[in-house]
Amino acid sequence: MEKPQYHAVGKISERKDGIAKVTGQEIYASDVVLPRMLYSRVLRSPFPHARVKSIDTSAAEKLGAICITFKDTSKIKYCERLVNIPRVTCKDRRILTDHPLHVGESIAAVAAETEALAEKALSLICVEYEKCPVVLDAFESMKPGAPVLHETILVGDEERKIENNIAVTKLISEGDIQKGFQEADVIIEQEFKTGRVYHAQMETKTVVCQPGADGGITVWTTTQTIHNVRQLLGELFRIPLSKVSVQKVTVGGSFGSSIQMNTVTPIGVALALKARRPVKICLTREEDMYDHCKYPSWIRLKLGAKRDGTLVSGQMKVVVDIGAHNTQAYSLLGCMAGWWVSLYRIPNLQYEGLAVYTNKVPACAMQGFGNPQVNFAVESMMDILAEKLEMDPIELRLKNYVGLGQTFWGQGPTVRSIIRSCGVEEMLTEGPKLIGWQRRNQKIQVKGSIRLGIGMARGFHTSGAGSPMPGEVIDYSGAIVKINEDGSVDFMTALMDLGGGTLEGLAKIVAEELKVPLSIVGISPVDTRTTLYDVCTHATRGIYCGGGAVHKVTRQAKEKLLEMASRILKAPPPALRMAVDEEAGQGVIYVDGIPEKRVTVGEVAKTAQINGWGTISAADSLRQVSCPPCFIAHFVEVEVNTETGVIHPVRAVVYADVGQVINPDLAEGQLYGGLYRGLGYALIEDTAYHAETGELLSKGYITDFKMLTSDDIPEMEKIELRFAETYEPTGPFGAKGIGEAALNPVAAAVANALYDAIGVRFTEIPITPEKVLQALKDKPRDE
Amino acid sequence: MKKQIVLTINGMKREILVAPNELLLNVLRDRFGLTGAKYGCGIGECGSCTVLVDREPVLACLTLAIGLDGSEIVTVEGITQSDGRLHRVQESFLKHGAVQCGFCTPGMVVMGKALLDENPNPSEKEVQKYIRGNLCRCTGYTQIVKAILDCTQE
Amino acid sequence: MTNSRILSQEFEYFEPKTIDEAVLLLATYGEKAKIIAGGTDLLVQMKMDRIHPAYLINIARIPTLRFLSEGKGLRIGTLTPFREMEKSESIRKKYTALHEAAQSVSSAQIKNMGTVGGNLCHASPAADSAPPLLVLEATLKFVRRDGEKTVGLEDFFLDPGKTILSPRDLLVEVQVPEPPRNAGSAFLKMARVSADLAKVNGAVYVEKENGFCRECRIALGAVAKTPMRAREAESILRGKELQDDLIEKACQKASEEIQPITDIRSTHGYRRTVSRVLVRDAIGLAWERAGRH
Repeated sequence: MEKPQYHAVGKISERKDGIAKVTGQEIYASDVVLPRMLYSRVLRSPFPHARVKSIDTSAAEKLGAICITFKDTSKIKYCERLVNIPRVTCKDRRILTDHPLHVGESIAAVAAETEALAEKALSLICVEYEKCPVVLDAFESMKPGAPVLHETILVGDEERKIENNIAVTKLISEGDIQKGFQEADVIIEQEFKTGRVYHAQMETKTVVCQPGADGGITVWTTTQTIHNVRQLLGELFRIPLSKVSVQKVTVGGSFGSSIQMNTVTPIGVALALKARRPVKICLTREEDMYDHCKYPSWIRLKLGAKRDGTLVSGQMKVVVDIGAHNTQAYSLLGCMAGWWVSLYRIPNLQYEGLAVYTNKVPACAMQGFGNPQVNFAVESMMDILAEKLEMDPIELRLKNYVGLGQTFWGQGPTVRSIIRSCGVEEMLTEGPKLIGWQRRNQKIQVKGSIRLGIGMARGFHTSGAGSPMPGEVIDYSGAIVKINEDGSVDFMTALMDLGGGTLEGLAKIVAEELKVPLSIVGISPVDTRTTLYDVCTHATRGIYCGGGAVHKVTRQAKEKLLEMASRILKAPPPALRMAVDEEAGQGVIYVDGIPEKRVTVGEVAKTAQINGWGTISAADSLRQVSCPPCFIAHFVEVEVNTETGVIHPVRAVVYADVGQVINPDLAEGQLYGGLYRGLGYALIEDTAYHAETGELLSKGYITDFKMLTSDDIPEMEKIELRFAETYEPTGPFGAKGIGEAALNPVAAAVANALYDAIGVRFTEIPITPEKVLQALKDKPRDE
Repeated sequence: MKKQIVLTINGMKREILVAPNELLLNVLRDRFGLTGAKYGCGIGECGSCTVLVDREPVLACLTLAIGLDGSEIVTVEGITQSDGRLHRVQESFLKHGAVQCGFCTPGMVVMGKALLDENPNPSEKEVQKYIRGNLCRCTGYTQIVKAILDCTQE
Repeated sequence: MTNSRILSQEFEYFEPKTIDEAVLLLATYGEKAKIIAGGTDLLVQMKMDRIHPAYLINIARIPTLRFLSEGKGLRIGTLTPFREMEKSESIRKKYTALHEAAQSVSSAQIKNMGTVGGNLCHASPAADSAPPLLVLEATLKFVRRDGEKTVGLEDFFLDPGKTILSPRDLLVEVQVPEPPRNAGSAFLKMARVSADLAKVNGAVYVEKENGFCRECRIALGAVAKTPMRAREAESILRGKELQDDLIEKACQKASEEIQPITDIRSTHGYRRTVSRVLVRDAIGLAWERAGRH
């Protein structure tokens, strides 16, 4: 298919929020300041499990602070995440609680004229706690007699009893695994563990709430979904949504930590309503680390294959320690099954997933949403299997992968569709050449004690959660576009840009469809009153779903534009053509074959204004009926010092299939970023707890939540990025997503490279130098 | 005991009364509305609060304002030229996709300018080392390093 | 939970202009006062609620405390920032271990703010400036109201966070004797990432004469309650030819002299194993550099 010529899509542009960001003018929720604003601090439980016997805020109030406790806030149990349909939404949260279930849980809050005064007021609140028995291990938590965290929760509107601290279970079966394993020539089984990572988004969670004179509220907060925050606040505080305005404000990174409404948000609103003044809560970093974390995992995987490499049977058991609250475990367990079975065809499979409560920081989605965890297990197993079968690992993958024309499970068993674009062949053919795949298996000694290893892993992520039939996941976006009287264009969407350039991509889609210069397409500042519903910017759905909606309304507006142009040019719409005139700074509409019979978009809009034809605009929603996988493969070269255990990633080839690339430089940014976060996941990131106090060993300071620095990543020449030549027919201009795919397979690629370097198979991440040295010590001497 | 101090901030002399425990970061953000410098960790580990004090990059979250009487402070807002045109480091960041969520960007821009003022021709390794105290969760650093290096050709 | 966004502690603040003013203040407020220079350790400790000084004495504006002079040996004023030590050509050439330690300090910003005096007085077992200064046999001069005193660095550290200084003392100078032309030194550091406190750090100093190791000094940090000299290891190499098996014996001995712990950064087993490697590599580098300039 001949490649179309685009003027905006696929072109590098200076991002529209770029100047504000590089000059320090961009406003984040944590920068918002309002007249008469009060500063707030939250009182948090010092114990991992306790009951509050008494609380006395009188001393704090004497200081002039406004105080609220669990006695003042709603007793309603809610789920802070509204992505699933109500019927399956598990609710176990309260705004403030007298039964804290983890160190750091919110019990009370104060607001005062200055932060220092709020700090003082906080210290004057007297709380009597009754400590309760604690459980910090998921397997211990499931045993009979373990301390109970939640007696009952609400699922939808129904009360459900929680047994053995198991928040959710998921059981999925296809085919007959007994028969499958009988047919297998080779069976392997292994356990894997992934760490409890902290998102470490650079901006800590924040809310600013301004109470309105009419009883409404205006809210600025760190969020991935202004509409879900609006709905939750409206419900919790019994305010009609027309009076709840959640502003879209730039967020300093999220990575999944604000899919749910953050714990600070309703606290800030409650204080603002009581104080009748604006209130701001900006979490300290130490509070933020106690607020949310990534799902850790324990995975046992058993695979059976025929001698020729065909997979015949698979059994996976997953236990996820979700911490004190269920943010989205129901969805997670289903997704994890989907991530597994969409990688390779396995005719007979069984999946068992358990999500377990413990007295730890509540886990929530972090890029990949179970995909990095599952991918680590599966892609490690593929290499283990390849070795057993004496097959090349890439050959084994090519033989079994779910590809073009085949069914894959989008985000779990209720979301299935057919793959219509797939770059896997290309990346598994070209990628190995770029990394020098033939250098594997040679126990290359770089110098002295340093060994070199090469490994790869492949993965994918879905572009959103669309499906042919609506299921348990709400996934749609709305958009508004209008053409201004000078030919410039405004578009409004509640979709967030979390940094990746999603809105820049949407602007390009508008510019391309209308054939107007990108420079005159404006991303309108919006809030929940001026936008249609958008479920959330997550699940790598920004371009495919959010962009799809913008594309749809732009086409609708285009129809109207052409109809009005036809009145002026006296030629019917099918005879009209559109082109961008960069010199004139306008889109141009002309009669096919008669270019001198032309009118600019601005002239049409101005004529429309003068004649009272109306504004050229459209507003509509779109639910994508598919969630096409964006594929990726990572080829990694590492150097391991066998005397110190230190691992250096020295080279990487990242091959991605995103369909049509919309923002080339920002798409590259996703690949670089995903590689860096994936390396951190593989090598160093984790949070650990004190066995007695239930506190984080790091105490919430990032001094001891280490992440790779600019000096720890490979040099730029050593990171090669490639995009496969594919086109997704269901995506705007052929585009799919990229964000989470860019991270998912990195850890397995590193583990596979390590195996190549030193013959040790690491089944637990992070793989620290301490673990490497211990493994080398324990390794039986065979060479 | 509060003290009257004079700070020159982005070229403008400002006289303020400060308490001993006021941090430069909060003075800049809360008193002067210069919200470019950010709170990222408060304990000197992330670099989001980086500003120039007497031409050297320092961490404003660990600097007592009261100790800076007579000092010159330049924030990211002051790196933009007075007529609004961008400094070449800022332009380079935009050119190389080095800006994603943008929260670390002010600190990175300050470091980029400081490095180039001190060493107009750093190597890639030197750039990587120079900004290692500035954390970025989005970009993976490569494009930021590229952006700073691209300024050395002149 | 602490609040790292602000410094909520209240205190009286002094900004002496001279050393005399500073020591007078220290004499007056003693136990309840803390000296602040760069603030990178002190303010963090205060934000983390670990110390609560009623008085802060800011010495950062005493010009006579900031100098880096070379004559017979090196004199480093207590306020000398790491960045200045890193940039000094003569430190790089003649006191290489100190240069490398300055280089290894976590970030450029901390290097601008953090001073050698602050680093030593904070007395973290992992202080980067300690191993090089130990092998270079530095002495420290401190003053108080009734006079001044000089002490060898090897007697300076008592415990994590504790030195021989009393609350009335002000460290003013670090003195480093000039090494002979046949000397070489090296500093190495193992950390989780590039900008970090050390899991293990260490320095080696040697003097090469006719192919023999005339003098050998080895110091290790983050592996005992204070930075320390591995004297038994040194004595294995002192005066000998540096054969590989002898070096290995010395490194093994050094790894036995230390008392590493398991903490959030690393394990005692790892530290013990890796200190051997670090010392060996540092010996190799120092030996190679000996007599080169």
